[in-house]
Formats: sequence, structure tokens, C-alpha cells
Amino acid sequence: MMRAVANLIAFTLTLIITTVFVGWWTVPVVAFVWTLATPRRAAVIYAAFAGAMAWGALLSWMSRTAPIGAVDSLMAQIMDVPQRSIVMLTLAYAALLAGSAALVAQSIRPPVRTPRF
Amino acid sequence: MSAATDALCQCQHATSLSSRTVSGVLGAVVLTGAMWIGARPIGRVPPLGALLDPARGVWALATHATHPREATISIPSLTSSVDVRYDDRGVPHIFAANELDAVRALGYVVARDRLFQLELQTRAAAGTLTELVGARALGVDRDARRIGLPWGAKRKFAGTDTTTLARRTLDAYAEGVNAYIDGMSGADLPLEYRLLNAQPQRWQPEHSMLLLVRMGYTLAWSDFEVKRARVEARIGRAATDALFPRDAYIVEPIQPNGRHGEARAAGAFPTPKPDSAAAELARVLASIPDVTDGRQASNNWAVAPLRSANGHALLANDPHLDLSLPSVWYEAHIVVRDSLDVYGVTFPGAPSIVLGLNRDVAWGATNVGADVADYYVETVDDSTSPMRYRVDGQWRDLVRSVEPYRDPAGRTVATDTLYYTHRGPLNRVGARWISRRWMVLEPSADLDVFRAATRSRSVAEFFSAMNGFDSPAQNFIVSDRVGHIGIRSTGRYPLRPGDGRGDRLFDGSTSASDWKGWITPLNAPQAIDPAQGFVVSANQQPVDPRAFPAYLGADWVSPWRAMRINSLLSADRAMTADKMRAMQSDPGSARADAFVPLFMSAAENAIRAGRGDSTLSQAAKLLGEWDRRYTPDNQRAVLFEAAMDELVRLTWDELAPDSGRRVATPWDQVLLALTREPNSVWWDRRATTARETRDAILTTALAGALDSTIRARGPAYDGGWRWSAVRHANIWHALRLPALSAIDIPVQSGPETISPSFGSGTHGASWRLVTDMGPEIRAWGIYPGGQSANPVSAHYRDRIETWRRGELDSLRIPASPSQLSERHTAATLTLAPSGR
Repeated sequence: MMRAVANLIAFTLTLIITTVFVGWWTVPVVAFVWTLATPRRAAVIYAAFAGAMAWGALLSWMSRTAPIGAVDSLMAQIMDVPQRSIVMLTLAYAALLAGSAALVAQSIRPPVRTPRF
Repeated sequence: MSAATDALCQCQHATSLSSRTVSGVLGAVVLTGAMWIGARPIGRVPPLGALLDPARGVWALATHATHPREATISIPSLTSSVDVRYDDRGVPHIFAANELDAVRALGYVVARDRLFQLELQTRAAAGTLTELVGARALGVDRDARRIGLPWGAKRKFAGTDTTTLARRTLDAYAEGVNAYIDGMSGADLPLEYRLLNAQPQRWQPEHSMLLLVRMGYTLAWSDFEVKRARVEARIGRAATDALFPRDAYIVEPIQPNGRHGEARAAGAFPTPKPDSAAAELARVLASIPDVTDGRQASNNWAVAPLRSANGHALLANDPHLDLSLPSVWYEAHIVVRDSLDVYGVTFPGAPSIVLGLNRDVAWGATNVGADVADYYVETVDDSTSPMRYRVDGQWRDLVRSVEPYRDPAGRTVATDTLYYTHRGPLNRVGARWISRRWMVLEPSADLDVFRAATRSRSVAEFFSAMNGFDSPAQNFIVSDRVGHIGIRSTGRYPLRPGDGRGDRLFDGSTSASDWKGWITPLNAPQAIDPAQGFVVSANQQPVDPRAFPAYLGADWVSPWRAMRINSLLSADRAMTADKMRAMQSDPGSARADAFVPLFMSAAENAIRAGRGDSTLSQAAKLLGEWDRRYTPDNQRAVLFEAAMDELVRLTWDELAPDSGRRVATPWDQVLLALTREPNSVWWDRRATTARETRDAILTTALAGALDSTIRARGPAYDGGWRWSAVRHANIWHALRLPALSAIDIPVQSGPETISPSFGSGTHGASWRLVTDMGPEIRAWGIYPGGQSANPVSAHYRDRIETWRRGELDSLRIPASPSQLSERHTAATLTLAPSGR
């Protein structure tokens, strides 16, 4: 259990670092490689969760000193969608990028299953 | 058993493989889709990846909402370090060792705060908006090129000597802007570029010229000829001359002559007679868009020490332009050791302060509204694709230019062939080819003139520096620390052949139609230290035509604002800066003072004579309750405005086709002049068989106004008539996105108050300045908006509420970095030459 949590944190931190220093498109790349390297049963959900958590953590970190809520509100008005939609869309998009990449990776290298007889 | 197990395993393996394949394909499809919408726009939705990226996507607007407390940036072209201190109002104070470095820094800080605005207004003038926003801007781009804006900017730029300081200033400004662009990270990209999926273009020195011609288009575009042709078609030349006269009916000159608000003898208003020849011309000219709304407005005034409470010269200026977010203005302070210390506002793209003050002189401007353009009907060799045009019996080659319009991807969306004569752009108008000469497109040194003016030490020096200013003609007003005040309608005005008037078409086939010379700033209307102790301009006719017969223009705006300002200044011999501030949003109206007594008198006469019904009685009672002030809580101004609308509609019915809009509307000063002829044929309505007189129209208008106001706003005493519910300022963002705009701002303004508000409320006081030129310079200013174009910045719209209340900010004008206290310093930026 502890190993799984540590793995998730490491995965999330990697996503944060590559997003900050390289760009948004590294999310599926990292998720793909991570899933290949550490195959697990619920890899898709795991990666999607890590993606959303990474971008969510970034937004939370930024919101300490920057008006993130104002950007959300502004973009919601521009796009004519409800408040908080842009935050949710951002998290969902990160989850989609990471989860779909994990799904592809999982199809290449599935998790080792314990035979059941 | 073993065989069965093997079979089961193989079956499971096959099923697993098949399931994995399906998952893989599904994952690949979803991933491809996610990457696709991340990298490509879908319709008007920008690429989601770049937009939602927390580090450099739209969220970066939040992290870049304030400038870093301290930053150091290298700029290759700098010769020495520049210290920039941002004060708590977001104003950069630039301290440089030499002028060109100061200009580089100005370009840098303007780009840092207003990058998209720089590009948008440049493209609007260059006719290349399609390259930014696509084919939907094609019409705007075509208009810009057909009227010659980019052509004029090129001529101006080509006319600058590359070795002069003026040219090096343009280059330095471009270096500053480009240094910012080159150093930008993805996180610095302004919101508008993200929404449009575009990247900033590099700034070229000639872009400053595009800005100049664009301002000329805003301030000095005139279509008197087009308007006159339409009116003449309906009422004939004589009546047109009366309704759209060369000279104003109310004499309130900028160049004082002791006469204020004097009515000029109008003579009898001629009977309208349709003119078939003019109608043919009007049909031809119908395809020329009448883009002038005629409602440009601005005020400035200066008070001599003898009329101020503290014995200092005082100055106020509020140029009225289309209100926008971000503002058309950017506030800055430039200090160059031992040579320059100037504070004020600049247009993003202009390499100097345009309006403001230095340590000795303060200045402001209003638009003259002169006629500086003429149309010429040309004779061409081919009516569909001309190559030559004829002047004095000789064929001359046309300059032809094939102009492509491209979309953001570089594809050509349209192509035009543009033609130019020696006069200017030549366009096909109906069956004719008409060229246009326009002062705004003539080569000039206008930007350089501002550079010199910002260094002047006295009123005389300021005007001397401004001698080279050509266009757009401005009533520059100046005060200095010694106590002098002055005003001059500064610009270069064409001298025409014949009677000198420029409000009709000229025959292009003869050079005798060309301009014969100029009225230069030296002999333009002006006054320095007049005996009355103050000078005022508010776009009215600058001179008393009896004293200055030369033609400067026609169809001058009514001088209501000037009359109100003159009246307030005349009544006060102890003027203060705060009183001047209050005057800038004064709710009184000379127009109301002129017309309310006429309505009241007509109504009372009708009621006394038994011709008034209960509606008229009620309307007169309600109008009589009005204090003639346009305060937000006023509940009677709405009735007066409705009555004026009715009066205009009923009186000028001859100018409207049977089922259509008026082809043009005379100014209210013409209406007032007409009231001196109570039985004029113009009061008679075409729609009735009776012969109406002035008083019949006034009472009908007043009663009708009550009916329409109740219909629109309910009963008079229910609160629906509050002026704040009627009149709003609307400050739109250039992309017309409500989220980036400030809409429905209740203001203390009426159609002809000193701070006017009319129509859609998108026009108004774009900058307000009051200065007190004592031993210690003090200045107050405001514009509606904020310094930053980042919509989540605290400085995006932080000044709007102060502006709405008619208040001003105290301007901080430190002579050195150390004079700006730590408490008032929001950020510092050090611009350093590369390699240090």
C-alpha cells in the first residue's frame, strides 16, 4: 500500500515537473512510459488520477499568490460556461491525456496476472 | 485434464489478446483525439493543450497579473542601464541616461503591458487584420487600404531621413518592443493571442506611422462633400447652406474676442427645393461610406494666475474618444538626466508622451474638426481598369498596386487593385472615379514635433516647437510655470481655389482644382494671455468668422460645452484645481438652458390660449421641475431628451424620405437659430395639411415626449425616469467580449454636458488631466481603464470607478528614483545593455 502511494506521488511529481519545464504534451508521454515501466491492474484510472492531481496541484500552488479563481471566472464568461468549469475542464483534460496514454501502454504491456485455479 | 487446461489457457490468452487489442485501439483513438484538440483549434475554440496548460496556458495570466517586484532584463541595443520604477497606479517611471535608451525602455514597458493592443491597432491601420482574425475582417481591411492608410504611413516613413534623431527614435522604440517580444516565454502571451491562436508580430519602425494615420482617421476624417450631396438632393443648395452652414450660428470662438454665446444673424431659412442634379450626384456618392458620426468631442481650458485662487496657471484637458479596454492611452513618465522630464499619456506605438506636462509646461489638446480632405472627380482612360488619368489635357500614369489579403495561415482570401493619383487614393464610385487628397496622408514630421514639444520651457517655446505639426489639427492649450497661458488651433490647413471652400467635389481634370498652399500653425487661430484671463476649446469653430474669413471647415459642432465652460470660468475669479476637476463632469447644459425656456414658453402660451390638453399641461409641469442637470438620480432629463428627439424629428422631416431615416441632421444650434423664425416654412410638417408654426411644433414635441417616456419608462414618479437608468458608459474590449469589457456604467453625463455621453455610450472622456503650474508642479489625472491589458490584473480596470465618480488620481512625478517612496513603488525593472 505504501509502495503504491509512493509510486503515485512520484508519478504525479514527474508529471508536474515535465509540465512546468517542457509542456502540456509531456503528460501522455510520461503516463505512457510510467505505465510501461510499472504495469498495474487499474493503470488507466491510476494514470488519469495522477494527471488530474498533477495539474490540480499546480493550480493550487499557483493560487497561493495568483488570482486563479479570476482566470477561471473570466474564461467561464468568455466561453459562456458555468463557473469552475474551466478548472474542471483542465483537470479532466489532464486525466484524459494521461489515462488514454496509459490505456495504450497497458495494451502493449499488460500487468502480470496471478493465475487463478 | 491437461489438454483441457491448455485449451482453456489458449482460449483465455486469445481472449486477453483480443481484449488488449481493442483497448489499445480505443486508447490510441482517444489519445489521438485528445492530442488533436490539444494542438489544433476547433472552430473558434483555441487548442486546448496550450490553453489549459497550468504553467504557460491561460492560467499563466494569473501568475503574470502583477509585474515581479524586481527584475533585470538585458536589451542588446541599450547603451546604458535604464531604471524603471512602477508606482502603485501601475505607471512606469523611466530613468535613463540618454533619450534613445529612454525610448527603448518606453517601447519595452508598453509592449509588456499592451502587446496585443499594439498589434491590433497597427493591423487595423495597415489593413492586415485578416492575418490575425481571418476573413471576417476583410471589409475593415479593404476600407483601410482603399482610403490609403497604409499608403500614407509608408509615405510618411519614407520621408524620414535615416540619419535624423526622429528616425532613430522610431528605430529605438521598435528595438524596445522587439526586445520584449524576443524575451517572452509562452507564459507571457496575452490572452487575446491565446484566444485567436496567434503569435505576436515583430514591431517595425514604420508601425508608429500607421498609428499616426490611424489617429488621423479617428480625428480628421471628414465627409462634408458626401453629406452635402445627400442633403442638397432633398432640399437644394440654398437650404443646405442654411442648415449645414460654413460658419456656426453661435459665436463662441476659441480665439477670444469678447463675444460669448452671441447669435450670428442667420437670415431667413430658404424654402426646401429638391435638386435633381444633386440627387444624381448623391446616388453616385452613396457608395462612399459616411463613417463620421460627427460627435467627436473634447475640452480643454487654461486659467491665468489672475483668475486662480493660488496665483498659479491652471490647465484642464479631457479628450473624448471611443472608450476601450484597454484604454487608448498609456500613462508614463520619462526622465533623461539633464534633458527631459515629461509625464503624461502616450498612444501605445507612439515613441513619446503626447499629452501631459514637464517641469515647466503643461499641455492638452482638443480636435479642431477642420476640413482637411477633398474629393476630385477624375477622368480616366478606361472605366473598368484604368492605367492613366488626365490633368490639364495630359495623361498621367496611375500608380497601381495589387494588394492581397491573407488569412492567418497565409492563404490569399481576396485581392484588390488599388490606384493612386498625385492627390491620393483613387476609387471607383458608381460610374465615376474619384480621388481624395487628405492632409493625414501627407508626409509630415508630426511625431518628431512631440519630441521637441516635451522639452519646451514656456508657452512660447511650446508653440514654436509645434510649428511643424500638420495633422490631425488640434487645439493645443498650454500653461507654464511663469503664469502664461495660450491656445492655438495647430495644424496645416489647405488653401483651395475659388471661394476657398472644401465642402464640395472638385474637377480633377484640371490642376486649377488642386490645393494652392497652406494656412500654417503660425497664422492659425490662437491666443496667448488674453485679457479675459482664460482660454477654452471644445471643438467649436475656432474663430469669429467676421474676424477670420479663411475657410477652415464647415458644419461646426454646437458650442454648448464651450459655452458652459466659459460661463463657469467667467463667474469665478478664484479658480482652483479641484473646481476644474469638478467642471470636467459638471452636469449642467447650455443646450438645456437654451431650449427649456422655449418649450416652457410655447406650452404656457398654448395653455393660456386654451389650446393645451392635459398631456401638455402635465409635460410642462414636469419639465418645469427640472433643474437642467444630468445627475445620475435626476428624473426629468429623460423628458427633455425625449422632447428634443421629437422636436428634431418633427422639424427636420424634409430631410427624411417618406419611409426612411434623415439623410443628415443639422446641429442643435441650427435648430435654435430657426426658433428665431417662428413662422418659417421649416416648422411646417409634410405629414399634415395644417400649417404648423414653431410653437405648435414645440408643444407637439413636448406632449409627444411625455407619452413616449411614460410608454418606455412608466409613470413620472415611480423611479423609472432616473437618468442613471437611461445613460451609461460602455467600455468595450476590442474583441467585443463582454467578459473583458465594462458595460452599463452609470455616469454623470448628458448629450451636451461638458462630459458628454450620447448614442451607445461608447464615447467619452478618454483622459482627464488637471495641472497646477506653481513652484511645485502638481497634477491629477485619470482614464477609464487601467495600465495593464491583462484582464485579471488589478490594473486592468482599477481606474473606472474613480473615473465614473468624476474624481482624479494624484499623479506621482518623482524627479529621481529615490523620490518615489518605497510605499508607492510596486515594482522595479532594470533594463541593462547585454553583456553587463
